[in-house]
Amino acid sequence: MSGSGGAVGSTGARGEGFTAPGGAGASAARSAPGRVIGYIVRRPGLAFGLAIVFVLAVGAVLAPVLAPFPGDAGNDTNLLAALQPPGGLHPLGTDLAGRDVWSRILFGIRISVGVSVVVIVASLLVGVPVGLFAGAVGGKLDDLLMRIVDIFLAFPSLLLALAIAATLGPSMEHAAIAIVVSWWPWYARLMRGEAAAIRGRAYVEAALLLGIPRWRVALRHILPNAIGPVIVQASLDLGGVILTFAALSFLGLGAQDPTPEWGLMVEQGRTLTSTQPWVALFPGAAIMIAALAFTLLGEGLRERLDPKGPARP
Amino acid sequence: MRRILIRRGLQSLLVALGVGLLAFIITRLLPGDAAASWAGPRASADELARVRVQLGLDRPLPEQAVRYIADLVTGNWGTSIHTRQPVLSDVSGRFMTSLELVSIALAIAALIGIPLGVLAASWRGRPPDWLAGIASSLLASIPVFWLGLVLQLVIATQLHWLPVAGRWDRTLNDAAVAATRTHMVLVDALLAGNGTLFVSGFSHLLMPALVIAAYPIGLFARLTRAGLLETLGEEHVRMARATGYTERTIIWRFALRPSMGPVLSALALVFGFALGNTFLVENLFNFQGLGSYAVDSIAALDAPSIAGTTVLVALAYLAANLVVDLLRPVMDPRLREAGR
Repeated sequence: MSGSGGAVGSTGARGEGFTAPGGAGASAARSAPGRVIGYIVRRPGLAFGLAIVFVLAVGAVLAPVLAPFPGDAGNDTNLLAALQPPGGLHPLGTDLAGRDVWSRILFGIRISVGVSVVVIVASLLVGVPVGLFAGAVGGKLDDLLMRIVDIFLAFPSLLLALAIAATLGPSMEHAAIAIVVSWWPWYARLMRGEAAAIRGRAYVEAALLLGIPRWRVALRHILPNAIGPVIVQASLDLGGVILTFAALSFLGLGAQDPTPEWGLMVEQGRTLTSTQPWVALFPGAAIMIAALAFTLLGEGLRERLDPKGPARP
Repeated sequence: MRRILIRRGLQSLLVALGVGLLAFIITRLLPGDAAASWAGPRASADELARVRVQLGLDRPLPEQAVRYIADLVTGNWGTSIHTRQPVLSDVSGRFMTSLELVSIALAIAALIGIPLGVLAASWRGRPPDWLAGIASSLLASIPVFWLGLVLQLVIATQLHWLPVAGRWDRTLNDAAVAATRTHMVLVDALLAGNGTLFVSGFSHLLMPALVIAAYPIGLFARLTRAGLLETLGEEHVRMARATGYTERTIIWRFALRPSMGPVLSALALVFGFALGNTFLVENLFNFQGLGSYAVDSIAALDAPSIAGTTVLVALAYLAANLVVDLLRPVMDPRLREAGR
């Protein structure tokens, strides 16, 4: 995104960067980073979410160093150490194949959170151009695109992802594709709404009257001003995607053993919950903590952008 | 108002057509040969060819698609490969069973979520409000299948408060089968006048319903809080306050109903969400509804059943959206004016 696009575009009130609060230069004494920190500190939810996201990022990067048994996240098995309760060498116990649950949860960040981030980015890469195109062009094509979006949104998103994942066959890649197919329409619709609202603004009409090609106006003037709410919604949805991806793996349609995916780990410990609860409970708790972190982060961002934003599951 | 109705109806019809098309694509893309799985592993080449013709698989794809949608409309949803029963009767019975579960879940969600939202709004910015906010964020982040396991472990295995799984006590099996009319155990028990079966059915429904209710509780609380805070600033509420009503009366008698718009709007979404979650929860609780049927169909690569389930859920979701759109002006008279 080119910075110069903001020269005219900054007259649009929404979708500005993080560091420009609505009240203009209220506190000249404090620097921009200072204001950001002040904003975060006053919101414990956002601060908490950011902290967990930071911990997750560190855990994902340093998993090979932090995990006591890195091999257990791969093909290693150790049947003699199967189903050991938490404590000693295995802080969170071992699973049915004798693998260290803590090591697998650490490496699982890369899978469960990593794949979800990729899924959200891919959904944005499909949905945003479609929405931008529909919103910037309008007319019949806009109608047609939005009716197609309606068809996708006629399914509860989990169900559509499930049906597609089942159609493609069980694998992590297919599960990721299935979730992208069921999520992009949300961003297309949101982006279209934002873009259509901006299309009527005076500065866009001025740019068009100056003879600037429509696609250029869309990219340089509409996109930068319409993308803000979409990005916020995407960060809010990340928790939902983590849950959906884990759910597909739980049903056997996502990651396959020995991949240390959290939903799959819950499934593997499912029949053991009454006797060896740690096998299923800890990975499930990891899913919850990660989803919570991104939900809090997204809510904090949305509050900043739009105090009365739309809520949807 | 009528114009809007007609337009929404036509729009829904178009979407339903698209749903049928998507379901067709799903059945044709499914790995495995439909004819082979239909004829069985020991079928000869001749037999296979015969089944292909019988199933219409030798026709060009567009023709197959049109025929598929026409069959959907006329109620011929094919035959399930894993139960060998007509898909439509399979899924409609199972759907009723899941509908009962989802209805109870949403009732629980409303009974807990709305008062929680009222509590949060009346203590705005103070600890009860924070706690309600934390609870609603937490409930939105719990993986339902995991929550099911945790509740089973704590409430059933440890505390013995509720049964672990199933739809009724096994000793009542004969009575339950005899009472089957609507596929909803509570309704069946009422129709048969069997109190024991009703109580047993309800105690078995409660835990899976609580699991499915988790997210809607948080969402309802959040939406109620937001709606109420907006209404509390309005003219008629200030009027009531000036007249000297207590704050409690103002909230419950004057402010709550006009604040329910967002909750009502979210109802269809939540319904679809809950229906989707039966796929994750039912098998855990050995609950024979649409969700467990779908999971079994997926395991068996049963294309007609998967497509049938998909179509049925999408249609139910579409219908829920339509009903909510029609209900909104009933709940909020201001919308009736705008609709004209």
